[in-house]
Amino acid sequence: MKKQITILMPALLLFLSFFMVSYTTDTIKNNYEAISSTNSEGIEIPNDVQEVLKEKCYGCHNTESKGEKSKKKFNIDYLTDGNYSKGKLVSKLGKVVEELEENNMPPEKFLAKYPNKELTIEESKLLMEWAKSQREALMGE
Amino acid sequence: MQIYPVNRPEIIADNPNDLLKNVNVPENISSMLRSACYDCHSNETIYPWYASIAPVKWIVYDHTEKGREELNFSEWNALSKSDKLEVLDDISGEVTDGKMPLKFYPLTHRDAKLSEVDREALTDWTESLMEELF
Repeated sequence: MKKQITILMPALLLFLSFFMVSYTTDTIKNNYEAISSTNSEGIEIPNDVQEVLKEKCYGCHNTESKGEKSKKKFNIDYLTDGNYSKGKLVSKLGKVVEELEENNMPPEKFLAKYPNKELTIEESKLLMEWAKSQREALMGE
Repeated sequence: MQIYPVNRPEIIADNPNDLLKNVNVPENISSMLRSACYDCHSNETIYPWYASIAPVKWIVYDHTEKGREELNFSEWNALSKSDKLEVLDDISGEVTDGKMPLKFYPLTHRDAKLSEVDREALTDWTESLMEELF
């Protein structure tokens, strides 16, 4: 009997840990599902870009956002779920570069309330370079 | 101080780069573009009679000048592919939001009044042209 328990316990623990790991990965995956890394149109969002988008932009620019205007102008979910056609993607990526170059995003009013959402120079540069390269790839340049 | 342009933006009748001369645009869309957009967004502005009287003329000239600067359908073919895509995306956004045509414009131009169905048709057209460009 004792021997049986000594064999079973590790097995049970192993099973439990496997279950927990797969559970947590699933939860994380679900949270990130909206900004997954690639899609059929070939948009690639590397991890570091994903992080910045998620932290600084996604709050307003997502399908569930209450801000109708912000999600209509740019919906990060649409970058990867096929809702943006190739042409839209090119346009939206171009606008990302434009808005960031002009320092328009996040908007000043929003930053007054949430100063920690301000993009650092490095983050802004990272997003612009990413958007430019993806745009060129789509255009076949 | 000159707030409004005193010179009337020129009317040019022959525009070889015009959208409608270079792109096959469905009849219902082209007539909407002509009646709701072309006065400010092309070289073929049709100035109403009151557009020669100050102060209205300053407003009209100003809008026409700025409108052409933002988007000039008469210069369509001179745009790069990516600029065309961005312009179409902008049209779709502004028309859906009801920002364009400007609110007061249909008051004096009845044909420029766009219904929800018209707006949807215009937006759909921009989407299909965007796909066509690829």
